[in-house]
Amino acid sequence: MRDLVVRARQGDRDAFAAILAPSLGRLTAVARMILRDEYAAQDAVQDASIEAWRSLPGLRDPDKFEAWIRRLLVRACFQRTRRIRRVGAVEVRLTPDHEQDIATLERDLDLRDQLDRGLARLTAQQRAVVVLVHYLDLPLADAAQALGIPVGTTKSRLNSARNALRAAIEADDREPSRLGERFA
Amino acid sequence: MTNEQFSAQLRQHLLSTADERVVQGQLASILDQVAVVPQRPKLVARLPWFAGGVGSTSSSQLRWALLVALALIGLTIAGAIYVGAPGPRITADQEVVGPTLEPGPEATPDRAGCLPFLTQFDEATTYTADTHSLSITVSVPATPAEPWMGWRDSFGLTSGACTDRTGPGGIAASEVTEVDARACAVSAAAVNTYEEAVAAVSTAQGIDVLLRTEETLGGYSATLFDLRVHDDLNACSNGGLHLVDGVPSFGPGSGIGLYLVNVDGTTLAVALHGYHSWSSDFRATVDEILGSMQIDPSRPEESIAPPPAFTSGGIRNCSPADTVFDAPGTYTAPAGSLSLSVDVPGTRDDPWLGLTSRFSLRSLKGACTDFGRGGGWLEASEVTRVETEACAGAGVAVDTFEEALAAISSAKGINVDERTDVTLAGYTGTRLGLRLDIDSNACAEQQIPLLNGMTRFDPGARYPLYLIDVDGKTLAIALYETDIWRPDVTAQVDEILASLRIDTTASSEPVAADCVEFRGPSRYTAPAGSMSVMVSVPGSDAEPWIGSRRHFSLLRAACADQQGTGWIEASEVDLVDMAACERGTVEIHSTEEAIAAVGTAQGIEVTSQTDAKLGGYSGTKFDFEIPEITSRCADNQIPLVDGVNPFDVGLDYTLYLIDVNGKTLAVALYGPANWSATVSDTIEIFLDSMQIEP
Repeated sequence: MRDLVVRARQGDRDAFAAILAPSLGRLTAVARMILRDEYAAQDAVQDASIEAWRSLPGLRDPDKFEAWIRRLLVRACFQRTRRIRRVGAVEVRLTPDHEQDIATLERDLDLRDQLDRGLARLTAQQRAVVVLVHYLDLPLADAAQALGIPVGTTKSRLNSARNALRAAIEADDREPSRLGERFA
Repeated sequence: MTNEQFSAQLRQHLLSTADERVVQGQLASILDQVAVVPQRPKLVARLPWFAGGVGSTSSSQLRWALLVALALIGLTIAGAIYVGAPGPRITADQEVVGPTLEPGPEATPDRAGCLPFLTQFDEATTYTADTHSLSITVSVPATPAEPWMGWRDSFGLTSGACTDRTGPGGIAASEVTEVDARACAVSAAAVNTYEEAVAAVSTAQGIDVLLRTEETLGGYSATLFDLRVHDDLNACSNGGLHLVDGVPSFGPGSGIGLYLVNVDGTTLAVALHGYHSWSSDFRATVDEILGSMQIDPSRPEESIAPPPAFTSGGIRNCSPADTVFDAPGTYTAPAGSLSLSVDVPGTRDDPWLGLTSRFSLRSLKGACTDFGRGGGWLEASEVTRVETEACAGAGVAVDTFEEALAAISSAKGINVDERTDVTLAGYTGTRLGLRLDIDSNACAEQQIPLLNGMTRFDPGARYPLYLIDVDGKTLAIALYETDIWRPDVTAQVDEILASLRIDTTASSEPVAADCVEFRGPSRYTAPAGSMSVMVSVPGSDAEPWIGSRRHFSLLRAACADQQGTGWIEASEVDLVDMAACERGTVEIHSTEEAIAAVGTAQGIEVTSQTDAKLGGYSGTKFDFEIPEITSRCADNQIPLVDGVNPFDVGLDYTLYLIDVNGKTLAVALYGPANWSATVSDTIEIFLDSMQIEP
């Protein structure tokens, strides 16, 4: 990987492609989670990738490429939040749900729905910290670096996001599911 | 639920719902852009060029200050070669040469003594240059006695003349995305807002903020920092502090004026180099320049790469990966593992946009981001999943046409009010009238996913949906916003659907993203360096032509194999290889120079040289051959002019060198002696119809 980054830093586009290809899915997933808009997510990944290519000569430590492009992606996502387009394509991934009993499935779907709706209510900044910490499993310091904010701020932003999520779920629990009402 | 339990649930949810799918063509689209976007140069690489002399009248202290200032100016110039941004526009009587190639170490000064990226101003000049997304214009009160230099690739002004490159200071501007607030100790931190940038600079290590004032610049509110950089910057390589990205590093001990300007949410940095060494007269001159500054935030980011953007018929903001139909043409795009082609009745006044990555065709209004109201919109997808409870995350996989039809018909909140048997492209199916009566509050963006691979639907609206059984695969074609279609759009879409062709044998790999196939009369527009070239293409199914999106190149072939006889390319010329790969490459500053260089180049045998005209511009037409093998060139190909394909031994060629407002456009024809009459006629059509946007 280091060799590829060094080569890409020297202008080798094939090397850059080799670095980017295996990361693209993960980067896109992060962007989708933060932006919740397919087009905007793809655009953000594209922005970050192009910016990575352009700025590679300035990357001091090739070993930090992954963290660096993550930071570019988060920044691109925030920039995209200002101009998300209305139209969004969606390709919903099929989640394996076989071999679960009906009760478990219903409970899981309910929680999943609650979490999903809760995440939708967060700001992009809150979603970003949640995604970095809970999806990418980054230590707070790395998440802070990706977000470009101090560790303390990251921690408080994460707490705030989690509290908002929990509040949303608890609010849901207090009343019948809107979907349940509609489709009952 | 404890925090730990909740965190675990949250993580599990994120992992299970994460969508790491890479959309077809996504990587190709990025790499397409990477192919035309150059990298930013590493700043220190340019330092040796700018070891300019120091004025003889200086005291030792001033000499040191000037030396630092000049090093900074050098860095400023180097750093401000902001690759990817278009060159500046200069309105004065000076000769203006278009954006150049990034100069290499062997770059030589032009006849005015300017290095290739500089222009000297000897008279009052209006200077315009772009940062990433902003366009900045200033008036420069230059005189022969007090000239200024402006650089061509980004916003930067330096006092002095090209011959000695000495002067008391300079101005550089860039958009800020990072601030190094720890004096090179750790990576610079991203700043997303003006406030964050101001706060980061205010508390940055490695500098002393001597004064901070609230100002306006270019009509926008700004903060002006009067900074002094610490003498001791041990953690910084090469001794320079990159306080904000985009503008050059600040040397130890230097005094800097730094504006941070809030331009509608974008933070612009304007750095004043040599600030503490300026005389009152020079300060007044800079104040005059800054006072004249106009900042245009309307430059769309989408137009940045490649330069120029792939446009057609004056339609801006189009992704180079997508196709604009401002003339009738054939649109081919994937729908899952199927490849669909339709005839698009586009016109200049009523253009259409087709995405490359998936089958999505929309009529446009004024730009690729402006679809207008009442225009047509259709999308197609190979259906593999139906959301039976949209927005609740519940859906089913469907393997057959019948399963898809049943799933859609039984999906909650989906009312099917029409069901008609249809045949499309020779395949049978059903046309459904769908109305989505779903509470969309639970859906992202309040839009409803129903079928994989398609744009989400709006609640309450009615959608005609074609479901077609294509040899066991289910093709869905949805028509969007039909309620508000203009009558003529309905007829157009009917024609489009009637022309549908389905290729079931197509590879699931998308067609090369760079390949545009013309199987009907159409118009092709593509970049040629900093210019844009457009020609009419009389393609047909029997005689298809393919074009590149990245640069002007047309080949008589199909995208599937990309092989054929009949090839034309165009490019902007900056270099000519006069010695057939024997270190004889020269930089070209005018069309006259290019013509002279090609006319005397070794390795080629010019058989005729005549005056010519293309697109209304004049130039010279060369016919030449490469008679013998030259082992010095790789693959026995001579890269005579940059931008177009190298020329092979044993073939004949025609090369036009056209003067387009000071830029040189090369148009190369490969092997015309071997062309069929049809191909020759078609190439003549290209040349006759050629339009050049300089």
